Amino acid sequence: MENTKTDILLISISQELIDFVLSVLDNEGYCVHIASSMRDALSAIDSNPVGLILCGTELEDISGEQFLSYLKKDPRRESIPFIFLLSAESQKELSPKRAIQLGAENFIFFPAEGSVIISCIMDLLKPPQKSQNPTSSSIGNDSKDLQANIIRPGLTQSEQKYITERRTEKRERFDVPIPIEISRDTKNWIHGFILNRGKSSAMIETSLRRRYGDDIYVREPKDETGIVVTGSVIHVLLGDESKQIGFGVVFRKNNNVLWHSFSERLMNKTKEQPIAAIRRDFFPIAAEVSRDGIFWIDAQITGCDLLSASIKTSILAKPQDKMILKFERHSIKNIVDGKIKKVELEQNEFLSKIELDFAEDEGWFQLYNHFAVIAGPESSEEEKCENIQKKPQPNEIMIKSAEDLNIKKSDSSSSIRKGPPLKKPESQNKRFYLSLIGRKMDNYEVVSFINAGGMGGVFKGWDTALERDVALKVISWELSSQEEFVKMFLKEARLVSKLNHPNIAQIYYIGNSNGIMYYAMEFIHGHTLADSLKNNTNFKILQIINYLKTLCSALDFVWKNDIIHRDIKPANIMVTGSDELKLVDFGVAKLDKKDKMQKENKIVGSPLYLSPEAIRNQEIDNRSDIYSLGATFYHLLAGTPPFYDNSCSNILYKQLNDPVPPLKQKAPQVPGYLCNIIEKMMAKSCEERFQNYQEIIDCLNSSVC
Amino acid sequence: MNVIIADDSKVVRSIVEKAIKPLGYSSFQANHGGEAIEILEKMDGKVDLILMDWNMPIIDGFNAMVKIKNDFRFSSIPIIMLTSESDDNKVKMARDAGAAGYIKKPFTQDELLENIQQVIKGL
Amino acid sequence: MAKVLLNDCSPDASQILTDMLKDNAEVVVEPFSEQREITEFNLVILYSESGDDQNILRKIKNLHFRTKFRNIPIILLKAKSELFSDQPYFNFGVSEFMALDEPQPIFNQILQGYLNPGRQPLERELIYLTPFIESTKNVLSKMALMEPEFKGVYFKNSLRILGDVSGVIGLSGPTEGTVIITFLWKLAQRVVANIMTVKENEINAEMIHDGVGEIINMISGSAKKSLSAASYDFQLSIPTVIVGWGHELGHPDNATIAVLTFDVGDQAFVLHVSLTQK
Repeated sequence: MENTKTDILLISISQELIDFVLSVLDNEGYCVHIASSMRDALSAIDSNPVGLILCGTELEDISGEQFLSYLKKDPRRESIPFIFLLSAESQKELSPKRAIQLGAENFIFFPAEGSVIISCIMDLLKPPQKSQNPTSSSIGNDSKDLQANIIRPGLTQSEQKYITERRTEKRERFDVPIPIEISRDTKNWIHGFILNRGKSSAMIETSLRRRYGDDIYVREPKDETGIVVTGSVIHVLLGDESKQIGFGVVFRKNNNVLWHSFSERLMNKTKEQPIAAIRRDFFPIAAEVSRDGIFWIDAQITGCDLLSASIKTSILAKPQDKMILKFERHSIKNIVDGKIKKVELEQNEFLSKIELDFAEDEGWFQLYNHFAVIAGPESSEEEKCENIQKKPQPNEIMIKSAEDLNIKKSDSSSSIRKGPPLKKPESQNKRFYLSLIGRKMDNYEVVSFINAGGMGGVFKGWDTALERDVALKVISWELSSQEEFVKMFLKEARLVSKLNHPNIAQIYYIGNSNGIMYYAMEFIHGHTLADSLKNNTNFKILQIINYLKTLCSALDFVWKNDIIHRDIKPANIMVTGSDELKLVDFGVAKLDKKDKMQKENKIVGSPLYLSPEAIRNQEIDNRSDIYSLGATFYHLLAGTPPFYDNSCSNILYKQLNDPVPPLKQKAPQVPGYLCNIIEKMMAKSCEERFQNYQEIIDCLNSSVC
Repeated sequence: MNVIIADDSKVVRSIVEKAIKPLGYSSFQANHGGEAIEILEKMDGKVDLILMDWNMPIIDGFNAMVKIKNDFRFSSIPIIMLTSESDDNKVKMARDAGAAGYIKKPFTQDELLENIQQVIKGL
Repeated sequence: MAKVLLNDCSPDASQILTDMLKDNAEVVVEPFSEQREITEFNLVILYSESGDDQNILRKIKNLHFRTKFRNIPIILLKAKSELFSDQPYFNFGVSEFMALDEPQPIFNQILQGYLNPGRQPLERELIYLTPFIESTKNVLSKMALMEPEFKGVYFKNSLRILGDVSGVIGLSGPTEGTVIITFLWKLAQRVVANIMTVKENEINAEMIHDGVGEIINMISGSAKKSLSAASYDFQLSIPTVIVGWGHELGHPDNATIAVLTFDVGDQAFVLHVSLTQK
């Protein structure tokens, strides 16, 4: 194992240090990779036989110390020896002792002499031998290849190519890359290009990721001859950001003869065919384009070559404009910057055919390879189906109009996206609520939709008569079509609208506009206690006691007016900006609750706070509200509801039968007397609870119970 | 009179061109600030007026103006900024950087001509 | 009283709808006609029994064209709910897609929802809408020598483009939002031809692009000054010009989408404005 790992990874943000160390190591024949960030470093480790890491105390993204501890936690990478490069300044942050404690093998103090560095490294990694590979003497060139390829991330592709060129002997370089196909298993073939070739080696540009020593197979594109040449990867070519963009391949034993004749033939063939031959046209592939990176609009890629693509889109643009292309599918996720070369507006069709030039974005190369593969004749049927836009099926709508394409596209996804993804097709309820936006009901204008609950949808509204904000609750069409409900709703809402209390959201008006039932109530600028729970707000005990007292006195007032709330829960208690409480959704949810229990079997807000007698559908009074209030405050204090399960029926069963889990256990900080009050409020039998709100307030005031 | 019209919109370039033609000016069109500077170089600075859009790709009008004003060969050529954004801030920025005039889009032909003539008279 | 136009309705469907609407609307039953003036109606219901989708879409597009971008919802009614996608219909301007076999209450409620009169803009909405109305008029009259007439504003729940060519501009910063101007092709050609003082038939796609992009840029740019005085501050993105129908733009859930309609002679165009202050 040890001798296969020959390379050194040098990580530093100081160019001076890199240059110095590089010059020392270069003389010794080590193959060195350079990185300045953790990301680059990891990708270099993954794609190269790194046998030693030299690392400074600071990386671009994290500290050297953090990087080392990261490596030591990774079983695949922890065995690579690690040497810290320290300096007088960096010693403050990281002492040599600490470096060793962390698992570094050694450290080098800079400024250091070349010989010190070498001796330090020699202990851990032998310099490469001149003839490392014993298979055959004829491949001596290749092992030189191996030693000589110092790849410096951060250089442009052409600079890298240049370095590669300079360091390999007698490699023939092509102005026009020769297209080939490569594979790692002879089943899936991916496009690649020969950048240069030697007698028994080649440099191949491809997005196929391979590591040093892996076998790869090479054949002609659209192969008819059946000739496959086997080679093995001897080094990896890195592009910007240390992305692998290709590799060097050596063809050993008989394969070098085969390679020679193979490449010879390919070259001749390519000479006959100009570069246009590698352009590929295919079935439209869905992607998105944008001019400004904010609005994305659908596009279809209909063909591409190494530097450009033709797309169809509804965006109008003109030559020289910038256009960004985004493709996200499977593991491929890429955004590339392109420049428009040519625009053709298809007559009578609202689509432009655009030629995009990606010469300045290397990210395109990866996409190109991906497209070439999914569009190629060899790709599996399965993959085609997934990647390529479906042909219209007989049961889909066939529209032969000009916008045909457009429709099918928008069919699969919305056309332009900005911010959050668009919603799925709306349910009937939502459709109903949406039909009301921008309309007027009696004196109220429906401004915007806030949310939908079990009983109806809530909107922000504007009262045109009194010129104030209101909340409009529109009863769902299901409930408002039940006569019984309508009667009860009107009766109770009338009662509640007479309540005038600072802690009760006032109902201003009950309306019926063209058969649409709604009521207008005080618009409260604030949030509900359910929101606070969701956001893990930490309540102070004293604050909670005040809340409880306030609500008790509000409910006492309600009770004295012969009304019970029936649906006390955190979501129905609002906190205003000035920390005042407002009880909302009054007494109108009676029928709603029964419905929910019978029809649905999933958690809705209420069952968590429902009293046993309400569950049993027995006659209820204020003591049921006391139970719900107790459960609500249990939740606030403990952070979890008193009974919880993943099905509604289980929760209801627990409400009925299980004793209340001791609050003190869940929330030890809560004073004992408060726990007792809450638990007494939640007694199973209403006789055992407080009988009225005043008792609770008295109990809280006396602080002993 | 030689006038450079720099605007990424062909529509605007053509309006301006048509508007100044009757005055006997010959106009040169640039797609962006970079092109405007290229034309300046090519014509060896023999340009009497530059009309420059603010928002353009590659080199925007403001940066192009700063470059031109800092080049001793061209610094005396008056530049009028054309832009749809009319905040006082931007007007001030343009003036400070050496713009001789500031025309707000949308403009009528008369407004355009009046502004141009004011700038030329003021020289 | 609201006026409802029923097009192509079968006797059954007419009966059901007339019964449902008779209390609060005047119902006119007619076969579909391409020339019919429909701006007097509050709601149009197009019935279709056949599966000839191409024909239906053609009709919807024509209906939408005749609404002149006014607040006249078009409801497509089918005999049976079907399982295929209703998206194409929405893309061509349908507000709602319903079937006679849907539960009566929801059917009725949705119809009534659309029959409620449209709301008026609030004062605080007018603060940011007025600059856009003014700048739209100003830009077109100065640049294109046209005098567009502001016809009114209404509010919608989606930002969908229903026209041939649209200029889109994004606003970012303390105030976020989107402004879209949408034309039918013919009017876009006329506007750009007027701006460039050339003949309409000389207008090509590049000119439409530049022209419509410049128009939305100028509209937002000149609205910007009065808006920042009203503490709506934003930066403008590069304008994007989109052709074709049915593109839907995402928008924040609670954002109000205002639709400002304008007439130029016998043609119409529309400006969508959706702003939210962070």
